[in-house]
Amino acid sequence: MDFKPILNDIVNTVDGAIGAGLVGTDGIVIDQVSTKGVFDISAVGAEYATIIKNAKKASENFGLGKTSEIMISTEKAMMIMMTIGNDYFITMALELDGNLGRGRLEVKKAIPKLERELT
Amino acid sequence: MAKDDSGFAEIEEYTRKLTQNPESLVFVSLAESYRKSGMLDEAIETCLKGLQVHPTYMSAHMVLGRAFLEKERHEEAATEFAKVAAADINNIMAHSLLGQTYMKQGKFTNAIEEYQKVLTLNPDDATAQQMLKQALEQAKNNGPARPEEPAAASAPATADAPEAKPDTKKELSQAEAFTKQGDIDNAIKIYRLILEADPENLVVRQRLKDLELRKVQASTERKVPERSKPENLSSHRDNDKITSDDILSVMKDTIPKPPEKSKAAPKPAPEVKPEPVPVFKKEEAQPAPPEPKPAALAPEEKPKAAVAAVTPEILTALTKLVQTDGIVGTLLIDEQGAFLNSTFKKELDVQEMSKTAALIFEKTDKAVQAMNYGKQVKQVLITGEHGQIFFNKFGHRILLVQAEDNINIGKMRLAMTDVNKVLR
Repeated sequence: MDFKPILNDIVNTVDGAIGAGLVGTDGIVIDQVSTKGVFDISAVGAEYATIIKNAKKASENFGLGKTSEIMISTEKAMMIMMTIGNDYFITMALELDGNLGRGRLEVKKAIPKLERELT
Repeated sequence: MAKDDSGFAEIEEYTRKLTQNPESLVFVSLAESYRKSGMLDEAIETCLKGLQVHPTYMSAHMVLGRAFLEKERHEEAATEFAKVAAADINNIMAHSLLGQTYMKQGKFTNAIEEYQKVLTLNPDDATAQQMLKQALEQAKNNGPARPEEPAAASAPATADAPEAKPDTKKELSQAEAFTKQGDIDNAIKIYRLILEADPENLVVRQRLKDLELRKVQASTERKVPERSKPENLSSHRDNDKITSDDILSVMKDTIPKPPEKSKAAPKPAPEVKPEPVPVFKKEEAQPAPPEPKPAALAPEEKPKAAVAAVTPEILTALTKLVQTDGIVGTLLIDEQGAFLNSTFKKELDVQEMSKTAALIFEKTDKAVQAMNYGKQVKQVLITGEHGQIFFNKFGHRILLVQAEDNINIGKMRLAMTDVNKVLR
């Protein structure tokens, strides 16, 4: 299974995309692509897992039900994470002036394709 | 994975939470779990019960609509989806489900209208494209369409709506009379009743907002001891909107018991006036004056007067924000987890929620820092099946905004403009 073409499609169509990755909710990175060297999620899978776990906790505490999406912005970048089933999620990082709306749309569009590959 | 088992586990869990706090919004999650497990009657009953307490909670209307749809109670399903679509014209799911319902009812012209709306919002929606095609074909085959109702998104087909109209005039003039007399509480009550019967009445909605704002402004100008109106508060429980009294009551509950202390409490911060609302945790003893500090702060940490103070400007901005359709409530805390203000229903354990929210934000912040994506997280948006929460960091404060799933991030940001200004 090669997820790179799907991930590449995302980063190539979104202005300001830094990279995208497919990660297990346990923090194990399955695949990733980047437009710049700065995006390497292989070493920080555990941090992703922490974020997802926290988001799930927040969803539960505030009665939101199952978590489907997380967006984070810092002074440096923006991150989008969307869950794929119970066990995986797709993430994408964008520069601050990146096209967030397009980024969300492209990530959303990629989910059914990734789901098909993953099952 | 045993899907059924997890469904039942969810039902048990949500039932437990709802029993603990019967006015919680968790009823929507419970109803959805029932629906997914095929327990449609229970789903409907749970929603109807919850909607008595939170009549404008759109997620509940969506779940109820779905359950009705699955039960093939199409008219009721259409009513529910139409309410959501009327409240948020950009809600793709509501339009799509409304289209689906109309198709089942054979109201193809209405279905076409709904699918067109879906495609205006998302031209790539393949399902809507297909359904629109089907609806067009069906409409053609059926010849001149039989008289259909006007699209419900613009005029929800509530069974009682037509009856409500004649009364509305009388109620309106009553409300106006109360307003003129300065009896804002009663005017608000009447406007709310009208809105319940006629949620689309924009004039009434606007008047209600104005009055609520007027009320909160008036309250913030008053001194604390004049504020208690217990009988009023209990009557507000029937309404979904959080009133200024609720907000003030939450704040008042959290101010340290001896009122004299709170008078002496504020540090000489230049701008903070008559109503200092530094909110302290009530269960812990306050240090001796003159320097009380929020109890949630670790002993070694310095109290931050600027952080603790919730000025009338902030309060007004938060009240305005929570009146936005789709915003469920806000929670303002400091980064240590000390509660500052909440516009959620007062029955919630705001102290516990504050701690949890701060912890979640802190852990996310640390994880992001470790990933080298920045030194500090500014915003976190978490979207779930039944809504979303939006954490915003303002200096040492964190504002959590909970919203329904029918409000998009753009609208939420727009609604937060004033809050951003005052908190920055």
